[in-house]
Amino acid sequence: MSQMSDAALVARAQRGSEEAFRQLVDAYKERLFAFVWKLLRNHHEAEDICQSAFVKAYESLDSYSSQYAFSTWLFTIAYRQCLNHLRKRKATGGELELAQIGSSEPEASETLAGTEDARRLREVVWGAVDGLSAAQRTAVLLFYREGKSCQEIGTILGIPAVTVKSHLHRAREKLRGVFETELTADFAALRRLNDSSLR
Amino acid sequence: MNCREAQQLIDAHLDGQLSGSLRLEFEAHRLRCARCQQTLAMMEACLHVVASDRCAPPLSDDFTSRVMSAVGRRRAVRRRPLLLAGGMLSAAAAVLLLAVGLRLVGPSAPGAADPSPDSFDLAVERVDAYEAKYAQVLMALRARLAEAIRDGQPVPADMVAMADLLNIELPAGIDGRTLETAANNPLSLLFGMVPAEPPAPAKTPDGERHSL
Repeated sequence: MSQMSDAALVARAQRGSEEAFRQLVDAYKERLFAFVWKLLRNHHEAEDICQSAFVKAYESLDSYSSQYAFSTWLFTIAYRQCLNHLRKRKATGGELELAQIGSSEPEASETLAGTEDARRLREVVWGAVDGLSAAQRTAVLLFYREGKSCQEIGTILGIPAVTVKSHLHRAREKLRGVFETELTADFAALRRLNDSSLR
Repeated sequence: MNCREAQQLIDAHLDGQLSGSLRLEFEAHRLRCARCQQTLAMMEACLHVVASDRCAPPLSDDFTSRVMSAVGRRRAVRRRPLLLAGGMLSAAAAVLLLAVGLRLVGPSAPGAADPSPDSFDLAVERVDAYEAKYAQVLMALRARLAEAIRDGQPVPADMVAMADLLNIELPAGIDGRTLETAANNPLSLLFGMVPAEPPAPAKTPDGERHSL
């Protein structure tokens, strides 16, 4: 959704238009859910957090400032709620290793080739991403998946942009370490994957 | 450029931050070094998966409907206190007008038989016009609230709404002690607040938040 149409919809929603807010929900729900799901790795919890984030965004529309993109503001709300949820999960002793949760979730992608090499690459990649800290994982997802700048990610995480760069750098170092351990022997297959299966 | 230097520039290359001669040197090294080619290919493949892999399960079909239902419920809850306070003020304005007409103005004074307000806005204007009685209502409400809080009694939500409208500052956490309003008759509460003999008006500067 373009910035201009976002601004127009938000302005209408601020004036009380529920239809305008519905359009914003429809525009961002998939992206927001994918982001939250990758942090929580639980379908129902992710839907609840997303719903709560949208309702919170609606309640706080008066405090939204157009100096930020609406997506940045929405993802900020969702991220804070994810953090609260993860803390509660940890406090009640119910936290599982994120990598375990991720591996128990059913695969839903229909876009990648179903080859063994593609599945292995995805397993390794998402296993490595799941092993990052919450801040590093969030920075990676927002930077590479949502195309957010370091400044915008800093706004969402509540940290300086230079810290975001540091998170990204450390995340890539960790990912590189995992790949060099897990995938060196599959390099030839990786070259083929990069060219065909991931398009 | 050697491998150690090239490895340190991989991050910058992935971020598109290499430029000029540094970028040319990096590209030249990459072309002749299998190890750096491998590392770069793995990182590019990884980031491609992160950026484009749709591995999240599908969102429920009724997700938007559920969000909008929750939004609608929030709007209904937020409207209720405002309607209640508005209703209270209308009732207060009507009774106040009657009280002022009978006690201070008298039947012979001009404007004694004030007409009932036609609208909420008009009622508010008329209440504001009777400053002395307004101050008395304010004092009476403050006294009733202070008594309820001191005795540890729940404070009716309509009184809290009226306090808010009259700019009376309540202690923190008072909302948690409010009662449902169905059992309270706002007019009977108001009658109890209007004293038979007007006490000396409180010397409170205009526009200041009154404290209990």
